[in-house]
Amino acid sequence: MTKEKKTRKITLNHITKVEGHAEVDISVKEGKIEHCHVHSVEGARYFEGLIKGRKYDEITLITSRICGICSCGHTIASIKAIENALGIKSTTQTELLRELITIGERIRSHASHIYFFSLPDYLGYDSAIAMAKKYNQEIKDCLEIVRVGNELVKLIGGRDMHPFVSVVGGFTIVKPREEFERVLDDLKSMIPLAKKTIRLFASLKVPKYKKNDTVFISLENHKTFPLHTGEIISNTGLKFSKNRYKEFIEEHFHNDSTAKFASIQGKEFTTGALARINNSFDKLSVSSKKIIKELKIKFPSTNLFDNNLAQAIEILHWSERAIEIIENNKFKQEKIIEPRLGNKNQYRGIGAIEVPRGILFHDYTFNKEGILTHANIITPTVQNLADMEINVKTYLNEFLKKRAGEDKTVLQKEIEKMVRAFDPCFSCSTHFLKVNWEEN
Amino acid sequence: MSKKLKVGIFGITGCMGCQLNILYQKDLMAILDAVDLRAFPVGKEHNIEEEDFDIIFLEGVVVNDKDLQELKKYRNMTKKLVAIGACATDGCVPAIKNFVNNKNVELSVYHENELKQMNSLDPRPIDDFVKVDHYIYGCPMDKIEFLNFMKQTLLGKDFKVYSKPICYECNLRERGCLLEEGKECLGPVTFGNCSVMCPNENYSCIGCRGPYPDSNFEAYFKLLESKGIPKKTIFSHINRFAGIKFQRAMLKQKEEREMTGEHACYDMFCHVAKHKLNKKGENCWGK
Repeated sequence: MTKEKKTRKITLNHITKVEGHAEVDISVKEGKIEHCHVHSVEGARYFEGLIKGRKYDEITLITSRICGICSCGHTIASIKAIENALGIKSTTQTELLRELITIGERIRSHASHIYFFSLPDYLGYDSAIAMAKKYNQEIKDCLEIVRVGNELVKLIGGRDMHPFVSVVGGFTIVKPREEFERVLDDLKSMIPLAKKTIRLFASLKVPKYKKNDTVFISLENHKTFPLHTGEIISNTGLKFSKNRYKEFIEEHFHNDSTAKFASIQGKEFTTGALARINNSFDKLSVSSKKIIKELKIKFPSTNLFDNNLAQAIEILHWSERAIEIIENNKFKQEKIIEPRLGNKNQYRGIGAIEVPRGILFHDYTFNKEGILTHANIITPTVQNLADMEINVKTYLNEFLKKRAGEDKTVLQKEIEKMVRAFDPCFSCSTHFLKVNWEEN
Repeated sequence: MSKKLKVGIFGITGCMGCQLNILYQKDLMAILDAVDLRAFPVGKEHNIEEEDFDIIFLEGVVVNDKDLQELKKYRNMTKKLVAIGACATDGCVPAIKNFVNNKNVELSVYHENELKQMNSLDPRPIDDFVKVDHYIYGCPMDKIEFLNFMKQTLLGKDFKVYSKPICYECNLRERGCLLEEGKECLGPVTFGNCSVMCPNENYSCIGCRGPYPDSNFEAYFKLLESKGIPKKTIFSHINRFAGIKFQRAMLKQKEEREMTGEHACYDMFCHVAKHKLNKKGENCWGK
C-alpha cells in the first residue's frame, strides 16, 4: 500500500440560502484543496424541449417559469429573441416599460440576496429571520426595498412574479398615470434606504482576496449602464455582437460527459453586478459615483466578495434610472405589434440582456408559421459556475495557508460564503446538471 | 399560551418562486413570526429535518427519483402537508412533458449519455404519490390564499376551500368577457380565488389554478370552436399549467356522460392515452 496522506472530503449536501438546490464537493489533501465540484441537484425540467412546437406567443409564459427570482428577465430576454426573429420593432414606450420591469426585479433580487442571504454570513447569524431582533431596522429597510421592487414589477407586469402583461409586440395593458405616480413616490422615498444599504455593505469586513486574472463579461452600449442593449465586452478586450455569442461562448462537456459549463475562448469567466460595474463604471449615475468616491470604494475589483457591494450600488443606480423614466414619460395604451409571418422559411433571433446575475441568452428559431423549432438558453449562473469553482478553490487555499488545519465547519462556512457571493441561481442552471472541475 | 405550530417550508424541483414569494412579502414573513419555523432552507442555514412537524409547505413537482424520495420523507415528517403553487398542486409547466414526445424533449436539451444519469420520471404533481391535506393554488402560489390559510390555521379553524370558477368573480367585477372578444380564456373551467388576476389585466386566464371540478367542458369547447379558435390551440393551452389535472377532469366527465348514454364531443382533448393519466403512487389520493 502506498503511504498516501489522508484526503479530507467535505460535502455540503444542501447549500442553504441560495436560489435552488446545489451541492459542493471539496477534497482537501495535505492542507490543499485538490478538487472542488459545485453541482446543481435540481431536477431537470427540459425547458428548451418544452417550448418546441409552440407558437411564438406562447413561449414567454413558459420560459418565465424557468426561475422565480428572475422571471421578468427570462420574459424580456424571451420576448427580445422572438421579436428579433420575427422582425418586430417595438416602440420606444415598450422599451422603457420593459426597462422598468427589469429594474423592479433587479432592485428586489439584489436587496433580498444581499440582506437575506449574504448579510447573515457577515454578522454571524443563521438567517435574516434570526437577525430581526438585533438588526430590526436593516431587515425593515430590506423588506421596504423589496416591496418597492415588487410594486414596480406589479405596475408594469400585472403581478410581482411571472409577469404576463408584457407580451410579444407590447403590453396588454398600461396602467393609468396615478399608479405610476404612486410607485414614483415609493421609489423616491426608497433612495435614502438604497444609500444606507451601500454604506452598510461598504462597512462590512469582506475577506481580503483577489483573483486578478478573472475575465469579467457584460453588455456595453456606449450610452447607458448596461441593461437590454449593447454588445458583449470583457475586461480583457473582447467585443462581439450578441448574434455571434456561439462563436465565443462555448459549452463544454467533461470527461464523463455529464458536466457542461460555459467558457469564453477556452477560459472561465464571471458575469453579473461586479462585472457590469467593473466594465461600465463611467455610466453609473452621478450620485452612485459620488457615494463610491466618498466611501473610497475601489473599482474595478477582482475580489468576488465585492459582488455584494456592487449589487448594493446597482440598487441605487437603477432606482434613480426608474425615477428618471417615470418622471420624463407619460405612458399610454398602445396597440400590440403583430409579426408578419410567411415571407421566410425560417426565422432566428437572439435576445441577450443583463439580468440580476449577468447576461442571459435566449436563442430561438421559428418556422414560417411562427412555430418554434429550436431553442437554446444560457443563464448567468451557468456562465458563472466554472469561475465559482475556481474561486472557491483559490480562496480556500489562501484561507488554509493562513489558518491550516481549520475545523471543517469553518471551512464549510467559507465555501458557502464564496458561493453565495456569486448569487447563484440553481433553478436557472438546472440543465447543466453537474459541473465538475478537475485539477490538471 | 399554547405551543407554537412547528412549520417547515421546503421545495423539490421548481423555480423557487413560491418560496421566494414568502421571503418577498412583509405580511407573509410577519405571520411566520407566530409559528415555530423549524426549517426553511431558502431563508435560513440551520434547518431541522427529523422532528414531527405540524405543517409542511412544499413547492415543486416530482421529476426524478430524488424528488420522489424527498417528497415521501416530507410526508412522513408532518401531520399536514400543504402543496404550494402550481408545480406541487398540478404539475405546472414541467408536466407539459407528459403531452409531447418525451425523447425529443429530452434530447433537445441533453445528450443521450447525460440523460442516463438523470433518473427522470414523468413530471407529476405531488398528490400523485402522497396524500396532500391542503392546496394553495396558482403560479406562483396566491399570496392571499397562503395568508388566509395561515390565519385560519392559527385560529384553529378549518381552511375553507373556495369552490367557484374564475368567471364567477370576473362577472362580479363586470370587466367584460374575453371569450366574447374571441380570446382563448380558460376562466370558465379554472378554479377561482385569484382576484381574476389575468383577465383583470386584459390577459386571458392561463388556467394556472387547475380545473374547476364542476366545469362543463363540453359547452366550453363548443363555445371556443364557435369563436374559431383552433382545436390545437385549445389543447396546447389546457396542457400548459395543469394539463394532467385538466385531462383527468375531462376524462371523468366524458366517462360520466357516456354512462348516461350521452355522446361527449370532446374526444380529441382526451387523446392522451388513458394509462398516462393514471396516478403513479401506491396510494392514490388526489383532488
